[in-house]
Amino acid sequence: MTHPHEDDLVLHYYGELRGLEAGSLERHLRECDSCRESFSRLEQVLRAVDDAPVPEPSTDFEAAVWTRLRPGLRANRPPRRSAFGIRPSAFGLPRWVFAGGIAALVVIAFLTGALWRQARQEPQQAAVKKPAPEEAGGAAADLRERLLLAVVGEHLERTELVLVELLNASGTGLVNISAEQERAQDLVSENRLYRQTAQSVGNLAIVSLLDQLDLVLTEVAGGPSAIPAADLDAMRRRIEGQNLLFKVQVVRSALGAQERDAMTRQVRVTS
Amino acid sequence: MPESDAVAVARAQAGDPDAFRDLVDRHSRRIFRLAFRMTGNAQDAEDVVQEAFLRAYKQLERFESRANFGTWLHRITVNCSIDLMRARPKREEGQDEEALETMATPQGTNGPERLALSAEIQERVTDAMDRLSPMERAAFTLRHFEGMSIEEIGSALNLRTNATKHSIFRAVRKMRAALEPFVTAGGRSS
Repeated sequence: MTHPHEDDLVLHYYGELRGLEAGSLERHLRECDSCRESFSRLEQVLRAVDDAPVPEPSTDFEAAVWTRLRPGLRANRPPRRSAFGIRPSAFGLPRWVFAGGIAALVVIAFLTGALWRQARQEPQQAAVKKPAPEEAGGAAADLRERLLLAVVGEHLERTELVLVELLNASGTGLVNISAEQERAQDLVSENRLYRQTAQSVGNLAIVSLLDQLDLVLTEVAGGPSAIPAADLDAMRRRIEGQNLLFKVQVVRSALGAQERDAMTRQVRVTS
Repeated sequence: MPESDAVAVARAQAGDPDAFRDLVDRHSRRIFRLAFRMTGNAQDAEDVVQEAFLRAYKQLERFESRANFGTWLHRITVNCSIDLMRARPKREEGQDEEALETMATPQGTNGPERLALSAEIQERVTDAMDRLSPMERAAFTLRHFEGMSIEEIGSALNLRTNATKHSIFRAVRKMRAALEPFVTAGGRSS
């Protein structure tokens, strides 16, 4: 007698077996004491799981949800402050203008560091009092690091939003992803600029993540604004398969910690 | 789709601020229960409810009126819960197995101790659920508590049918390892 696999008993419990398979397993359970006993134990365990308690929310739960939700709905998006405490939309400018400005700051900071290193090699031109080279060079490096961490963190936050919306988009036939596409178009060039900067300062973890994001953002930005549901599913599977959302969250969290460390060092240097 | 949801969605899409509140009032409790089953934590579940409604609101203009708002919101809630669980620190697999074996040692099972055992089983169910991976917990919750078919779960979680089945099988195996000694010792019968 061939006994059914434990997994088949699970499928049977949940009514996932059909027709001949179900009939054959039921017959076997009637004839086989050990399998019947095993199925009975499985039933007992799964019925015990039914008893797992779920707390009942308070009577004003709906009102509380609404109160917390309303400010986010008013803005249509939750207010997201940049790492500098400035909300880009507060200027009434397109997001890419703000992002471009921040990117320019990173480049300036990077060039400042490079120029400072060059200046250290030409000490004869030093005519006025200036800080000790190690101290000022370290401060410039910290400034570059802070700026990079801050802008990449902000960039990843907005990219995460696009990924989440792609993962949650649903529909049949053609699915409209024009909103995600518009955001991806804003993010593509920033992504490349930050990747270049991260490469310059030798942060290979960020380079690798931004490379992976570039593929998705480019695909969304350059593709049609409405795509077949099957293509969207395939894209979602690729995002899931690479664990991209999780990686973004992990790096974002790590960046926050590094940024705080860099700020602490900056305070020590300037005080 | 129930008429009332359809009307509320249409009003919300047209910019009526009170309409979305109607949808929040109708669906908050149901998705809180789902989020709690998925996350195992009331505070996390409340955060998931919040995030799910926010995502739904942002995507509302693209919601197709032929679709079922409740089903759509359900799917968003599942995704929000998985995102939250994935962001949590990961447990070590080996430690999980060891802990499940250690915890599966029933104590008293007679007379007045039966009530205490029932409470203990509930506690063990909660603990065993907490030890499932995010995907195992999601697949198991949707199959066991939400009554979704394996195909529907695969579609909601973007998993192939076999991967969905295996997530459920692994979850059931872990639940059995943790609970079987208690359940049989407690004298529960089918």
